[in-house]
Amino acid sequence: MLGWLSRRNLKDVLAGLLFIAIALILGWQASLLPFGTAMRMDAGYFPLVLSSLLGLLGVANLIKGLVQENDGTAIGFKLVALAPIVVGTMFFALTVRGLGLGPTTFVTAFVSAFASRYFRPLVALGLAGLLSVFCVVVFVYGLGVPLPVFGPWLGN
Amino acid sequence: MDLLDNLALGFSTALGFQNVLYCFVGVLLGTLIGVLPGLGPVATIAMLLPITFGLEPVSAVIMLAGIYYGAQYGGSTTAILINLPGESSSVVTTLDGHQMAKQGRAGAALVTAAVGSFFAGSVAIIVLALFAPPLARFALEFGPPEYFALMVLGLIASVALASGAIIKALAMVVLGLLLGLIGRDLNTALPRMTFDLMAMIDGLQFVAIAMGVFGLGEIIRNLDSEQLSRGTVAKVGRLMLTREEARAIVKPILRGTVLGSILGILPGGGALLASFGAYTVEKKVSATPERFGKGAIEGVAAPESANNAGAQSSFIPMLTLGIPPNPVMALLAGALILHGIQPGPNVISEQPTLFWGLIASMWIGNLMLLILNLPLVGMWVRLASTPYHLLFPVIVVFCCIGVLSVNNATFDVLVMIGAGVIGYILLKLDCEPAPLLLGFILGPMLEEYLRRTLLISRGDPSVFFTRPLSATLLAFAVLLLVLMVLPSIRSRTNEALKE
Amino acid sequence: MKMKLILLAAAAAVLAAPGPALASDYPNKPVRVIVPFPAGGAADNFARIVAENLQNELKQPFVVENVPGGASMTGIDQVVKSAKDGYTIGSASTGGLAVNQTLFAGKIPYDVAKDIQPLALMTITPNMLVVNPKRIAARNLPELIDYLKANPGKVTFGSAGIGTTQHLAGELLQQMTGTTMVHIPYKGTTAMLPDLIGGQIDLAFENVAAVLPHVKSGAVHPIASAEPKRPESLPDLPTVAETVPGFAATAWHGYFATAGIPDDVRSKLATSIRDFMAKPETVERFKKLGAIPVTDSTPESFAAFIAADAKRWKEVVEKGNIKPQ
Repeated sequence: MLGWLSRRNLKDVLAGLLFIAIALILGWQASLLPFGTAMRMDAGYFPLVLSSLLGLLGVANLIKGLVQENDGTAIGFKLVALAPIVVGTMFFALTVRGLGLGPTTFVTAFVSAFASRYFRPLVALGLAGLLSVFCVVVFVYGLGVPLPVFGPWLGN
Repeated sequence: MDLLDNLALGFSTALGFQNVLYCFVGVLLGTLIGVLPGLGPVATIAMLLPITFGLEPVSAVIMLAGIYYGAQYGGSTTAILINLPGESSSVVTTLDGHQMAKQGRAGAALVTAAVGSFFAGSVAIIVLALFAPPLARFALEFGPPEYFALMVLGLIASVALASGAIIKALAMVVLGLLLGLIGRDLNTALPRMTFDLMAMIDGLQFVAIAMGVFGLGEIIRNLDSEQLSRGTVAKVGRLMLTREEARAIVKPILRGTVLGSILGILPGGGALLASFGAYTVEKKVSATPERFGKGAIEGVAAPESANNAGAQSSFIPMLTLGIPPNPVMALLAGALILHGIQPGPNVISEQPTLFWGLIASMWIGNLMLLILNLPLVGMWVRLASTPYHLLFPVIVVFCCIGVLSVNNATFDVLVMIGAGVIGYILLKLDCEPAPLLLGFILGPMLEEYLRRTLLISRGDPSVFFTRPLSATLLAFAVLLLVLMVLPSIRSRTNEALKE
Repeated sequence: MKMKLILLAAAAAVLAAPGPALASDYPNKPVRVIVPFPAGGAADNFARIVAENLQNELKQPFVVENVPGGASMTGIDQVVKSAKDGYTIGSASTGGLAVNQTLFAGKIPYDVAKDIQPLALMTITPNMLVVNPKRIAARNLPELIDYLKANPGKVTFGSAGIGTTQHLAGELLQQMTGTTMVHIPYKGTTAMLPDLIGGQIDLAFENVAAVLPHVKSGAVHPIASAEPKRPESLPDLPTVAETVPGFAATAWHGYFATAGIPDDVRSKLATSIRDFMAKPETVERFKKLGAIPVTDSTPESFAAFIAADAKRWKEVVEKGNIKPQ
């Protein structure tokens, strides 16, 4: 079974499953709303019709993937590339108001830089430093983005 | 001749030292923010609005308008070089523009975008000067049924953007439509698909989704392939166009200009529909449609001309009717009101200096942009050929700040991260993101106009076919659908015959 | 080098910042002004004009932050949840302070009566009833009401969205005259106007400043003002109340803070806003923007005004069965 599955077009199979999953989640949310009729649509009409359609397209992708032979390309998701970017941007979202734009961009840039195989700590530190100065000058002083340079968590 | 007098008045206003200066500051700033990913003209103009309080109304509007069309120029630069559309209308430019960049033709793509934009902008300004009032009246003929028909046409055209498997493209369009519906329903004020989260009550932000999928998702994918092979440093080829390329872009620029000038007048998705409508047209008329999505120069020339023409003609409803067709125009209208000028049908007669001065300044500004951008092409290309491991942290940080600046909402940054992760997975599964973004914008409008039509007609759908404009547009949509389905049927029968 | 200097200056600014604020020397650091509307619109303009004056008057930056969305609830909530020291204040309008508590009952994250400290009512932005002259033959309110009575459910009225004063004014008119119309909601005034001018819909209550140019050009015909008394700027236009006694659908904008700020901070802010609104130049400036400046508002009078308005709209929303939540 597994051997047979591994010779299928896994990209289409996974895409199909992903579409079906999203369709189920959003379809469940849409089903909580009043539906109405085709001539007097209520809030839930469009969302439910579209999530059903997405589900059907997901099934179609799934079947297509199961029918086709694997074209020989492998799909591997690389956590080494994904994790630093997610952690870095997450840090930005959660701390920019507290720490201010200067320190936050520094950390975000530095952490994100881990995602590359060419990561060198000193180069990344330098880049992060230059970038945070640039961002503070351009965005806060130049364009007047309403963010503090150093935020309230740093005693400001 | 009235027009000549008016233009003379316009140029004498726009060529005043102060106004030339503000125009230059505007286009320069616009280019800058256009190039910085995520930071769009809406956020920038909103932030700079207070600065213009002290200026003459003409100077203020000239500068703000300069930021707007300057950002359109700058936005295509990032779309081509790093595959990041900052504005909905430059989504289409990424398709072939970035492919050209990967093949070392970034210079040619940028030059094409600049020349196409300049030509289209100039033509649209002439259209604006000559026909503004009648065109605005034409736009008023568009009621909910007509907009609905136009959205259907756009939706069908959006599938043509995909160069890969059609069934995945369809799924991506539907996913986009669905995501676009998240948030408060216009007709009932009910929150939809918000998981009871207060932060989702206004739906997901376009910029957050675009920066997530095209910015973060694309970066992660690039890094992931970098883990396997050497980096994806863009090659630097020759900057100028070859003779064949120069010849190839003439007609697409003309067609894009016409489409952009017309569709830009329509509120809502006008400029966006123009840019990918132009792309679809080129793909349809091309003798070699298979090159599209793989670096066809026509696929850069047409949408770039269309979106710049659209940017200029979107001034028409604002200046002649006082009805801003997009958020940037709404800001400009706000700036005028603050200066004591109520935008509306009387602006042309009551404020001739303002109206004609602005029109003249737009032409001057477009010329400045061309002069500014052509020499910059070399610099941009060299900047983009910076080793990727030094470039991507910069893009990540800019995306974060840009998304945050749109609504000052931290939640938008979280949406961007989520869209980035899902976008990465989708990219790895060969699902193209452009149709998703177009669906995202069209989804709410499609529903809005359909439901409004049925509300006004008391549930009678026949209005779609009895109103001539809407019937014509729907007929076009059917024709396009047939044209799209036919080749695939034909090729399938060909394959069947071979077997 | 320049960048270094700026950084140094920034660092110096951080070190020089004084300790916790004493109410008596308020304000001794920048004040955040949350505006729950997008930049550039009328609501933003009003708030910015006043913030600019506070800045000049109280000698500290009053930094405007636009936090649009959530029918104003997101922005108002940020002010409500801020420290009770007066360093975060906000502006809000009818929807945020008088309609949401009914329309979004159970979902609204704050209690206007308990969590909000009203400071001053700035201005009233009058609405007027206009019809598309090509679709509606009526030229005054009695004619229009007769027409509505003869054609129940036939006439369409547009609004800037569910729960806006434009929508509620239309509901109130139906309830008070016993007529029925079809409500067509839009995403804001600018989306509604083309359909009204182009004759896709029949009539609307709309902000006077926004429709006046179209009245002048003849694209729409004015019927009546929604204010309780004839506004000074429209002396010849009858009010709806002259035909339908008791009718009023007023849109307004005011400043508020979170409840529990020190008394002297509250009075300093409130007095400063009221004194500014009473200046002849300010009155002129607001009139130019199509608004009626309020020159004698106090925290107490504004609180009473909000409570009265909220009570009225509660009745309209509940009677009209406008879907809550």
